[in-house]
Amino acid sequence: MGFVELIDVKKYFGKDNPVPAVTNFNLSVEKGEFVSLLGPSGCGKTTTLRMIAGFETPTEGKIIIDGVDVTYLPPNKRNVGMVFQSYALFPNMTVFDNIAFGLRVKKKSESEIKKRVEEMLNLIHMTEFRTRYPHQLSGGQQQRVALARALAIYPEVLLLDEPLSALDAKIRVELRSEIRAIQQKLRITTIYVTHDQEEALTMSDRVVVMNKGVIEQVGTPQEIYNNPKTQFVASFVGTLNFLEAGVVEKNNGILEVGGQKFSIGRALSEFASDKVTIAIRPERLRIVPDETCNNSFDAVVTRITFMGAIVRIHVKIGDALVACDTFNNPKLGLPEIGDKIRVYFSTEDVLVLSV
Amino acid sequence: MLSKMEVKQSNLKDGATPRPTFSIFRDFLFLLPFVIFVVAFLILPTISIFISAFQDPSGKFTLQNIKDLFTPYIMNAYLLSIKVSLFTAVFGALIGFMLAYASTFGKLPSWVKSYLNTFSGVASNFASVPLAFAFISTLGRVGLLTALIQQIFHVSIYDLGFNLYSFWGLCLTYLYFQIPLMVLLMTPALEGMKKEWREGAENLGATPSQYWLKIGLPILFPTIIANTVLLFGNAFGAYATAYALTGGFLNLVPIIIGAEIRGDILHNVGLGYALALGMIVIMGITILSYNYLQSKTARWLK
Amino acid sequence: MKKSRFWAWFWILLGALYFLLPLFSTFLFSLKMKKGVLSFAAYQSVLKDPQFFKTFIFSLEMSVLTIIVGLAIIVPTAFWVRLRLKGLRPIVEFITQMPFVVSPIVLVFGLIRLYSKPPVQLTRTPLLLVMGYVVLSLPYIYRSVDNGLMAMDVERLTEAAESLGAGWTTILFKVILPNLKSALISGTFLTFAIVIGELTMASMLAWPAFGPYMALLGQNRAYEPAALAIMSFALTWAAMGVIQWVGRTSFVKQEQVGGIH
Repeated sequence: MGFVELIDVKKYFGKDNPVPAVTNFNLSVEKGEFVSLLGPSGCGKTTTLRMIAGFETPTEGKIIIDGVDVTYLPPNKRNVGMVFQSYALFPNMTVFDNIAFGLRVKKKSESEIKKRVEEMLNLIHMTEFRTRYPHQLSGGQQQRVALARALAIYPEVLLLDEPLSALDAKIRVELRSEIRAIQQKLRITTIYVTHDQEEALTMSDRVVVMNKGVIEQVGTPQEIYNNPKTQFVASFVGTLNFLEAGVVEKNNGILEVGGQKFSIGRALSEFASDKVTIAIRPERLRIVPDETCNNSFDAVVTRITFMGAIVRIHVKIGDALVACDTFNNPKLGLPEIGDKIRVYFSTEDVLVLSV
Repeated sequence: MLSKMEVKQSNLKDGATPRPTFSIFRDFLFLLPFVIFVVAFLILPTISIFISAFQDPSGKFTLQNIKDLFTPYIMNAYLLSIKVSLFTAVFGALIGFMLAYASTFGKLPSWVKSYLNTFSGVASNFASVPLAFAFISTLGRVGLLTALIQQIFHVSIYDLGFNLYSFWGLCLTYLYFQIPLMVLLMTPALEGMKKEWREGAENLGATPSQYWLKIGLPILFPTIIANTVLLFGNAFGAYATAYALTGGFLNLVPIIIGAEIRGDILHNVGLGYALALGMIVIMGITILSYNYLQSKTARWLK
Repeated sequence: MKKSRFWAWFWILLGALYFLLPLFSTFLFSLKMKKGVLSFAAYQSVLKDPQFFKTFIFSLEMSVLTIIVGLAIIVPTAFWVRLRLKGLRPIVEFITQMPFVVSPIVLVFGLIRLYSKPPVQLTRTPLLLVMGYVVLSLPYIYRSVDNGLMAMDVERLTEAAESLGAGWTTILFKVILPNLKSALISGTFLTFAIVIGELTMASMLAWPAFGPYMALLGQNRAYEPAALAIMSFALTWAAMGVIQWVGRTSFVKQEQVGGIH
């Protein structure tokens, strides 16, 4: 039994023609865990978060926090801390008063409040800002204050709704690690909504990939990335090469692409048709083989894209165009356009997506 | 899984059935003062006028009041009101637009626009009695400007046919709050014109006038017309300025209604109600046109 | 480029001429009460008139009552419509346009028709005048408050406060009203500007307000009206100035609301 449980949660909007925003949502979050809800706009991740916070009520299902059924509890009676995308700091209050707000509502003593607020200011490294007003702060600073404000009330769960979307790329990366560090230090159960897979993968203990109101897959970042269970997860998380492969032998898993036969090391489903869609990550197609590679394609180089740390080599295998990512190593010579090269891979890296 | 857990029930008054955080009933309770007020002091008076327009002095239903509207006296009043409103709406819109345009796009120092808008805010509220006084002091029979022209050009504008207390004088006075109103309405709309549109057009070889003709004005057109319509309604309903200026001398529809309320002249209250109804109809058409036209521009200028 | 700037200045100067000339000549006219000398005699005459203060104070009281009633009705409405009853928004916005459709002269007609006889005889109290004024200023107060609520993103702030455990009274008084200050002040001064010189309703309902006083003076005197006009203009300018200043110094960025007359 988890610390936060969502059981068969469904949310429909509208009375006459109800639109399902979230369907059959089941999730168990352990205490101290950092779980991300990842998906494109409109997938229901924010609606789910708002149901946990209490701003929306599930049409069906239950939400349980620390054994208490909070499904119909008003938001101001739940002990959750929420951080909004637009920060939502109170413009008429200083940083200090913003952070102190929740404590003042609970009628804590001023000395207790002062102690806690200073603690929070230290946590976010903004002690000198205590008398500033929100409009005097940068976006990143405002978001840190919003975080401190949510944490000040000793919440059971921390909820964050795309908190970094409104910030510059560089600040986003900085704040990302800060938030994760604070979360781990406080060991607070956290649910984080984002559409940015990099955020989800780098910060989370587990990722919940959502699409059109439904959970596609729940797993660790490695699981999600390396073993996507559905086509949607495979294509949403990370980059993928998609290939149409002809089926040569179903039972032995022999396929062919561009006239080249290869084995994927496992049998295909008996329902497989003559053609299947397979996928393989760019970084799993190597131009220099390592010990895991047990297969290879002959290919012709069509384009080379320099992406900084990575060099992406676009090759043609028969009629199919795929990308091979390799680390930028100035000492290693790169092939040229038109060169015939060999691309190495492991049969385990081939994902069969449709049958 | 659920049955094995100990689920502590949170303290709800009604734990069995799901309930939204705030009941709809309480929501409407908040709105009650507003509803009571609007019904009592806006809707009911309007309805009572509507009903009274179709009643004769004994209270029976009649169309006589409406028929009485079609006398030359009343028809001329409507015509006059429409003429004044139309004239001041069109010219107010034109001049107001040019001022707003000049301050936004005319590459003038920035203080021009802010002073223009501040002044417009003041001037659009400066109507009725003080405004009439200002124009009387300027262009009345013993007004300063009248006297000045007399001194310099040795001619009295009144001899030439000008009369402040006439149609033209009234129009001139009305423009004093019509033009600023247009400035206040058009400046945000002009500011909403993304400069990327103009730059994009220039980049594709268009001259400024081509841009305005093919892109700028077509986009702004519904708003310009909508605001002109608003100006029309603004002038049509004005009572105080006209009264203060002409003392009830000019036969505008609001003036006649005012006279009816006081019980002067016609002693036909039913007619007064019919007049008021006519005004409501005209203003209703005005505001509906305004809303319709604004909806056409809204999506572009957001 | 030069050509457009010429035309811009042309229009601005033309506008300035049209607007400033009457003000200037009114001012000059008001100084001419004493023959041959420029003096403030007209102003003194006005200020010495006991009726001036009596009617001005009356209108001032009316405007204060209007503001109180207006805000008391509109603030909860605007707030609730924005937060919970979004569907009602078009209806409420339509209602705020109605005072334009039912212009003051028609409205006062209807009010008299309904409330000048028993059982509900309100014409004996200034209450009816205040109610009429609240109707007149309804659109401006509503727009001011609504803009203020939008500028502070009232939905997010309310949710943030709720997530921190605040109840409704705390939210209203500690979060929403403090950030609504400049909108409330804008609405207040706009209402003041509308009520203080109002003529139509005050004269029809026969109350000793400032508007009818000015109109009466206009019928009998020559120079005092000009002085009154200048004083009135200065007062309106001051009121607008306060609104601008408040808008500049507020915590939340506010939008300017213009007046229709």
